[in-house]
Parts: sequence; C-alpha cells; structure tokens
Amino acid sequence: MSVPLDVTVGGVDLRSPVILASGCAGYGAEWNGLVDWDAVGAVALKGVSRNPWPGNEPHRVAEAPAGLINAIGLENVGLDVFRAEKLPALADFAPRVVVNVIGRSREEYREVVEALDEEPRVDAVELNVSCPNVTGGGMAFGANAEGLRSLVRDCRDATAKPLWVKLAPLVSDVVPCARAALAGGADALTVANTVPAMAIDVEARRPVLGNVYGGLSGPAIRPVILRLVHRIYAETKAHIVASGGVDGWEAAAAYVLAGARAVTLGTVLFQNPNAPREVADGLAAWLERHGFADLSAAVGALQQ
Amino acid sequence: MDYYNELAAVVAAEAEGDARWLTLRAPRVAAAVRPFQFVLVRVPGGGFTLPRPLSVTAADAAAGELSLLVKPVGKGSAALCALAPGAEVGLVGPLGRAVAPPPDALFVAGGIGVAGVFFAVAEACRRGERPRVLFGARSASQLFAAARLEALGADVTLVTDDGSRGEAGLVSDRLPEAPPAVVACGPRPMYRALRERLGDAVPLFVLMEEHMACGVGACRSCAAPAAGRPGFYFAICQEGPLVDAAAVDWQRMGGI
Repeated sequence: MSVPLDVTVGGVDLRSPVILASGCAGYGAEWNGLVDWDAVGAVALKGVSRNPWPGNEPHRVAEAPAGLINAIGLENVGLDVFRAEKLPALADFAPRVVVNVIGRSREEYREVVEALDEEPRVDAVELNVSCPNVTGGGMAFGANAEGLRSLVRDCRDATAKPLWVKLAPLVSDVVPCARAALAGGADALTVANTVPAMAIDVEARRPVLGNVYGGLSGPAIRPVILRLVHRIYAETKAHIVASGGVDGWEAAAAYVLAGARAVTLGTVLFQNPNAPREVADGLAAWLERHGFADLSAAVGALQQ
Repeated sequence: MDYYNELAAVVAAEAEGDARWLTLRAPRVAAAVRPFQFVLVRVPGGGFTLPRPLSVTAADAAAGELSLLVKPVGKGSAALCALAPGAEVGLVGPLGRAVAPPPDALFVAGGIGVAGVFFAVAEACRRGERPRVLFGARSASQLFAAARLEALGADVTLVTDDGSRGEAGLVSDRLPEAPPAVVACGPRPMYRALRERLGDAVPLFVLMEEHMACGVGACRSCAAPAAGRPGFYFAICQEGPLVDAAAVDWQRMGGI
C-alpha cells in the first residue's frame, strides 16, 4: 500500500504533487507519448501574453555545470491562438492545467487573466513576475514588493480562479515579496523562477546566448531555492510550489520537508522524460517509509 | 506522437576518421524512424544537462538497430565517440519531421553533414534509384563514411578543398546543370554558397542545427528566424530539421 499523493495547492486539488514547470512544459500536448501523465498532478503551461511574443535571438540555451541557462524570451503564440488552439488540445488531459501569464504592463496581465477566467479548462493562473529574460516586464514587477502587491491585487480582482504567483529568486529578501504577493491575494507561491546567469564561449570570445544573459535552472540552483522555500514557509506558512532543480524524488522530498506542497519538474525532462513517474513513485515510497499518512503531513515536517 | 524513450546498447563503434559510426540496439526507434529524423542522445557519465541531437544515419528495423555518425566537436560528442560496444546510452526518438525528398533530388553533404542525408540516400538506393550525391569536405580525412556511401550504389562525387581526394574545390562549384531540387546538410557557409549558385529556380532544402533541449517543440530553444515573419522564429525540432531554405530568414542568421 503506498501513501496517496493527492494534495491541495492554492485552491487546486492535485492527484500528484508533480507539476511540469512552465517553459519546459510547453503547451502540454508536446510531451504526449514521453511523459507518463498518470504521475503528473498539473502542467504549468508556457507563459501567455496578450499578443504573440517572438522570443530571443539564438542561441537560446547553454549548458552549465549541473544546470542549464536559457534565454528563450517567453516566445509564445499569444492569448487568441492559445485559446483557439492550445487549450482545446487539452480537452481530454487528466492533469490540472495551470496557465502562466506574462505581460509588459499591468493592463496586459489583467487582460490575459480576465480572458482566462472564462476558460473552463484552466484550473489556475500563475503570474510570472520573475522572468529574467525580457525587459520592461516580468522581473520589474517581481523585485518591488509594493508593485507586486498591487499587480497581484489587480489580477485577483480579474479572476475567480486560483491565483499562483511565481517569485524571483534573486532579491535581497524574498520574504517581503512573498508577503506582498499573499497580501495581493495569491493562493500559492511558486518558488522560484530561474536565477540570472551568463555563459561565455572563450574560443569565439562571445556570450553563448543571443540575449547575452539568461536564467539558470537545474540542480545547480536547488540549494539556493531550497533555502527560499524554507524561509517563506517559516515566515508565512503559505502554499508553496517548489521550483528549482528537482531531478529525483530525494530533491522533491527535501522541498516538501522545507515547506512545499508540490514541486515542478523542468530541466530534468530533457535528460529524462520519465522523471515525473520516478519522482512520484519515489516520493510515495519515502512518505510510507517515514510513516506519513499523506503528503500534506510531510509538508514542513523537519525534525525539531 | 509516437516517440520512444529507449535505453540502447552499443552494438558497434567503428572509426570513420576521427568520427565514430555508432550502431545501437534500439528496436522501437529503429522501426519507426524515417530519413531526416533525429534522436536526442543522453551523454553518459554525468555533467551534461542537455541531450545531444543527432541525425539517424541508418536504421534496420528487422535487426532493431540504428546508426549515428558522431564527430567529436565538444565534450558531449567526444564522450559519445568514446562509447564502446556493450555500453548503454539513453535516447529519445524519432524526432523531427519525416519528409520524403523531392524526386531526383541532388544530395549535397559537407563534412559530417553526410550524417544528415545518408539515410535518405540509402532509402533511394533501396528503391532501385541511383541518387546523385555531391560530398565535399576540407580534406580527405573529413570525408566521413565515404566508402559506406559509395557502397550504397549512389552516384557519388567526392570533392575536397585541398584536392586530397576526389575533385579539388567546393561542392558549390561542382553543381550539375539545373538539378530538379537540392537537399543539403553541412555548414552554413555551404548553404550560403548553394543559395547563391542555385538562385530561386531550384528548390533547396537544408538540414538546420541549433542548441536543442526538448526535441518536441515544447521549450522553443532551437529557434531559427522565420522568413516573412519579421522578428519571429520557428522551432527546428518541430518544423525541421529538414526545411525549405526559403522558409529561413537568412539575413537574421547573420548573413550566413
């Protein structure tokens, strides 16, 4: 008998705490045939903006020690095509659908959130206020607590759906940002986005990425994100989705002990599309070994 | 989509100059893969976050085997070249679009680019055709798998920059009069020269290459600038890797 993995995160009932991370997950359907959807609780779809965004000049990814630096630039098809083509493709999709939302202005965020409120297939909205790869949006909101609170409030007023906020990792203190998002009405916090980074090709003597700078993901950032999850949980007891370098069940278990109710899998999918199944099974076995009745019992359950 | 995630056993690792002709036992991918498709191969040994996209150079569905031609250009490809028979390597595929080459197309390969057209040439030969192949490289040592290519029964012309084997010069200088279409795999300067020589009259199809992560169109890493859509890109793993050269905005590829 294995311990059930179902858990409620920020108003969304998940059958598994394994969430495919926004960006890596695409629009979900791309991974059909490679990912075992039975192991997945939710998919956080690629950031959607009001109008299509073209993304950055190549190269868009660079390998880093125990990680990956990306500067995709939030390429996406825009709200209209997303609603007309991408959401309908998920009609028979068992995992919950979380839609990541991006914008260059407060009005753009609000407009997209409002439109998604009408979509029955959308189970939650995740505000991306922390992408390091675009100017004039994203991170500009994530780094300023008051700006963040008021953006989240605007979006909160625009939807009845569960609202998650994906925070930036590289701020002097993450707790005021977490509090601001919660004060604005966030139901859960995704902790965190990628860490601003760079790679240089020393033979070409050029930055590897077309955008020069990118965001670091993968196991390299996991200890940093683990601390952020622990800090935010200790200070706020918020519902947290841990996002950063989960490459197996042990990483997921560490995040749960630090205070996360769910974890995202992103970069690991490129090496191992079967990782969602392995993490779900490993987590269930670990919960059982430690005598937890369910996943929520293990959240924040560090020994004193 | 019918993708498979297989743990493949290395059946043979044969030298082709400083490259390796790796034959892997991967029955599901081998049975499904078509010319111009590729696999994402996980580099063994740890320390690599990204799998490596490699053209499937040959496939034998009955034997459950496929072959990859790998040149060591970086640490990842060097690690793959070091694989010995008996080793295991994870791969995902077949990825990319399976496209039938235009009838009577001339195949043009540059160096390790032969890996991208070999399968299509082999299939044409198997159908009883005798496809023309123009295979160029800097020198004889870079004409990887030339003997295997000739053994297929294709009409192969070898060209080297330094004349160390075959005719001296560039493939773009050796194009026959008005081929019905050209399918090319090689470095970008070769594509530029082919575009200039062929003009708009001859359809040109090229295999594209870019840093890649997911291989299934999700992550948008492998972007190529789209012609006619200023500022926008297409994903090579999804629209390619073989694409009509007219679909690429070559100005935004840095002029090459």
